[in-house]
This record gives sequence, C-alpha cells and structure tokens, in this order.
Amino acid sequence: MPKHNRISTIFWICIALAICIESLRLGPGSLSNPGPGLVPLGCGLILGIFGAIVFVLSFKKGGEAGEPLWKFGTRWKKMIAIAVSITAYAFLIDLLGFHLVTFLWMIYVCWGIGEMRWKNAILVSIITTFSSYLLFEHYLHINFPRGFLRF
Amino acid sequence: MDILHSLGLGFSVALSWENLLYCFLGVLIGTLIGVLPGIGPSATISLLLPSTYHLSPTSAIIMLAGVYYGAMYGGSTTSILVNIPGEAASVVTCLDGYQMARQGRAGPALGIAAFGSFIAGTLSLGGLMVAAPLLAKFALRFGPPEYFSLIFLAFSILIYLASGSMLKAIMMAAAGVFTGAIGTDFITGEPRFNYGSLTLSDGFGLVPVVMGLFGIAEVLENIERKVERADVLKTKFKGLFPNLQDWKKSLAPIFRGTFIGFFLGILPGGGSVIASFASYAVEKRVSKHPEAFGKGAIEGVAGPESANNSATGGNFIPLMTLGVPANVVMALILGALMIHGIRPGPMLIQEQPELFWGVVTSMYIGNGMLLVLNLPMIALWVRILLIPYNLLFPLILLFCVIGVYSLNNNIWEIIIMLMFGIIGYLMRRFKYEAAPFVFALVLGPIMENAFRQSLLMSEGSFSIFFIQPISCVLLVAGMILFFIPLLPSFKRRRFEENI
Repeated sequence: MPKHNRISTIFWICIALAICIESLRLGPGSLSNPGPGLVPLGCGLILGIFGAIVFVLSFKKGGEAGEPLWKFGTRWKKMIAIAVSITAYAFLIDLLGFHLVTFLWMIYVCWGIGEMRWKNAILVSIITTFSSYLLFEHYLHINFPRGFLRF
Repeated sequence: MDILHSLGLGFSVALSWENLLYCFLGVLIGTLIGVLPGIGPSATISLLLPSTYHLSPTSAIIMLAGVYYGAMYGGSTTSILVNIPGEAASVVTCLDGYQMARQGRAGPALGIAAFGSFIAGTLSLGGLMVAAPLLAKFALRFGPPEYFSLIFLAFSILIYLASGSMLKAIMMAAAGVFTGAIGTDFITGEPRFNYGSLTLSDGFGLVPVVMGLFGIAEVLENIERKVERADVLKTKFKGLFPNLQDWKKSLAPIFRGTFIGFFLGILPGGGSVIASFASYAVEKRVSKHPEAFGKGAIEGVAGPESANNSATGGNFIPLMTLGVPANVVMALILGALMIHGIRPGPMLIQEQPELFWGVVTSMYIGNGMLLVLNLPMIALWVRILLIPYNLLFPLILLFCVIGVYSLNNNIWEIIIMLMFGIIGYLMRRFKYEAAPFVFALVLGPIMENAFRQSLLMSEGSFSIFFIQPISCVLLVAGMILFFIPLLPSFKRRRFEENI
C-alpha cells in the first residue's frame, strides 16, 4: 500500500516538524537540567525520522496495493453523518437538555443512519433515553443539563 | 498462613454483595462482547471507564477485570460454532474448533474450551498470588533509572510483537508519548502544547481518547462495510461434556497452555493473543499427529483457550507490582486506577491489600460464574449474534457520548473523542495500530518523569542507566529486541513487507 504510506507519512512528517519547532520554543534544556521541551522534541524527531523511512520505502517495488482510500457510492455518507450528529449533540445538549437531545439524536441515528423503521427507531430511542436516565442520573447521580424546557 | 490470611481478606471484600454484582456484570459484559465480533475488550473497557468514576476503586477493577477474562471465554463460542472469532485471542480456536463443530463435535469443543479456561484461569490466579508479592518485594529496589529501562523494555516488546509494521508501531509510540506530554509540565509547571485551553490544561483525558480510538473508530469502520453476521441457526450442538478420550488428549495441552499463557502474560508487551498462538504452535509441535491440526484436533482448542485465559492472570502481575501494564487492556485498567488516585507499584499490596486481594479473589469467583454462564447458556449467547448492527452501533455511540460527557459535563471532551475517533478510523485505514499509541499515552508521562529524574540524579550522564545492574539488564534486553529486526533475516519480514 505505497500510496497510502506516502499520504500518511507526509501528514506525520508535518506533525513531527510542528512538534519539533514548538518543543524548541518551549526549551529542551540541557541533559543535566532537562526542560519541558526535551521529551516532546525526542518524540518529534522519532516520528519524523521513522516517517521519512516509511516514505522512502514506499517507493520500493512490491507490497500489497491496499484498499482504495475512498469508495464513492458506499457508506462514507454515514460516517460523515455520524461525525456531524455527534458534534450537533455536543453543542445542543446545554440548549435542549440531556433528555430531549438524547431522544432526538437517537431517533436520527437509528432512523437516519441505521435505516431502522420509524416505529422501531422511536421505540429504541425511548428505551435508551430512559435507560440512560436510570443509569447515569438515578443510579450514578450525575447532573445533566435540563435545557430551556427545564426537562 | 500469611497467604491464607490474605485470601480471607480478599474473599471478605469480593463476597460483598456490591462486588459480587460488579463481578457478575463484568463477566456478563465480557462474555457478551467476546461473542460479538466488532467490539473487543479494549473498546468495552474504554466505554466502561466513565462509569467507574462513581464506583470504589476495588469494585471498578473487579468489573473491568471481569470484562477482560470474560471476553476470553465468550470469544471461543463463536469461533467454534460459526468460525467468527469474537475477539483476537480466539482467532486460533477457529482452526480446530470450527472443524470439530462441522464434524458434529461442537459440544465437546465448547466444553473443553470452557473447562480448560476455568482450569487455566484458576491456576494462573494461584501463580499471581505467589508471584506478585515476591515481585513486589524485588521491585522495591526500583528507582527512576530502573523504571525508565523497564518501560523502554515494555515498549520494545510491544513494538516487536506489533502485528503490522514495526516502523509504524514506533511512530505510534512516539505520537502517544507526545500526546501524553500535552498539558502541564509536571516538573516546571509550565503549560505545554495546550495553547491556553482549559480543557487541555491537564492534557488529553484518557477516557475521551480511548473511547474515540476504540469505540467511535470501531463504529466508523464497521458502518463503512457490512459486518459479517453468521447464519447461526444452522449450527447444532449437543452434549457439552467431553468424553474420557477427549479429556486424555486435552489435559496435557491445558496444563501446557496454562504455563505458556501465564509466563507470556507476565512479560511486558505480552498478552492473550500471543499466548494462544504460542500454545497452538507448541501443541502442534509436540503432537504425535501434527497433521490432525486444522482438521478438528481437540488439543488445538484446549491449549490456546487455556493459554489465553491464563495470560489474563499473568497480565496483572507487572501492573500490580511494578505499575507497568503488560498490554493495552492493562494500560486501560492502570488508567482506571489512576483516575481513583491510585498509582500501582511495589507498595500497592501492602498499602491497598483490600484492592489487590479483593481483585484476585474476585477472579476465582468470576471464573466460577463464567462456567455457569457459558455452558448451560451457550444457545443464548449464540443468538446474540443475531443482533443487527444497526441496533448495536447507535447504542455504542450513545454510550460513548454520554460516558464522555458525564466525566466533567464538558462538551469539548465529546469533540476530542470524536476527533480521536476520526484519527483512529484513519489509522485503521492506513494500517497504523492504536495499541502502541494508547500504551505510550498511559506510560509516556511515567517514562518521561523517570527519564528526567534519572538525568537530574546523574547530572546529565546517561551512564546512570547502565551503572545500575537491574536497569542495565532491562535496557540491554530492550535494545536487543529493538535491534533484532535489523538483522537481514528479520529485516524484510518485519520492516518492509508489513508496511
């Protein structure tokens, strides 16, 4: 999978470079008095050097081709939907309250992403919202936000 | 007498109704996820970490340990009946277990897997009880250089045994140590790489990171492809008790598997997966009929299943006595202990005897529970495979989201979890392993502390790591493992082909 390796190692080498620059700014100190940047600098160097080795080796012939990185028409839309829905959950929990946002989110995930039937999605959402209330609020005594409806 | 007294103390802790409940919950969840492909013990322990915040440390570890060894039991069921390993340590059981099932001998295969697991699990606990206090006494001699060298050795073994490319495993270990360094420098108190973020002032929390890497990434990967579901209704089995002939063939493999699993479990970087493969290889080698392996040899089920359970007992030794986890699951259990402000080490057995002996004795009880849970209820566990993934994945996602949010009511931790979920998914696609990353994330700060303290002690001289004999032995062993793959015969196999 040479193409995969080239793409991934370029990413890691960039990260390594950023780590090294920032570690030097923090100050690696000296060996007798190591500073906060010493170990991160070491990590950056290892990441960068080994990343470069993998990058160079990826030009050698042979090796498995690997799966294509992006298959259109498959389920990538679902992955994006999951990521967006989790982000929305995070930003709506204070506004709508834990119970309402959990209920609505579960309906969306079950019906919209999991392709369940409407009735089943609602049933699963009710059961899971109630169960999470029992487990986290009632049993573990965690206070979740109530939202503008105070629910 | 001392050990009897300690056992008495342990049972008094483990037999409290609360700990019995958590032990039962742990083994029940462990069996469940052991049966289900697509979710392993690492992911499950990650998902359960937030709920342990609100438990006593002993109950928390009893439950998490139950999940770990319960998964070893559960994994064999689907390997034997439907040729789908529920988790990695049961992969090798498919080879002969499924063949036995096809020959109409599913019952004895399941039976010997359960009995072998029970015998091995129980014997390895005996080993744990004897070895852990001895090692703890020895570990009192450990200072910062010894700890640094030990952790280096653990990294070397973990990287050496990485299933994919070693180069990528090294990169992931470096990335993990760096991620562990984010937050505040513990010696100077200076902020490091947190750019003024309050959420990151203590660094990335272990829970959001592991829930992302294991929980969310698992869902993202499985949603992309269709998860294999077996036609379990076609499988029939009866008569779970192996006959006399089966027992004769299996006893020696069970004891050999116990021995192999226990010692491979103690090694830092070792674990159940390696133990089960090693046991299979040994059984095939010592067998008078190696050609029968892969065609339904009961020894090929008894040995590996015993080894993977025995390894779980061995795994607890380095964690409880040195504070160094043997594998990623133990690293997560170390994380759970640290959440409660407990730092395992040589003094743990003396300072927290209820915790140590309570957890050890709970495993005896848990092994008994598993035997009851697994043998009569096998039909039920197999039906679990019928749960459709479009019901399972919303539940996993919900548990991740609520679990992470419940820690500090901080929405940014949900975002961090999602971010690591995406990173974890990409790591899987690009063949980078998450285990060295998480291992390094947990051990990185301990390693950095030991490294810097050693340098301060020696005024900047690296000779401190070689002057101390224990440190020298550990460091040299780590270096040998690190450099063995540079030898020409290993080089192509480990460095290039697996990239």
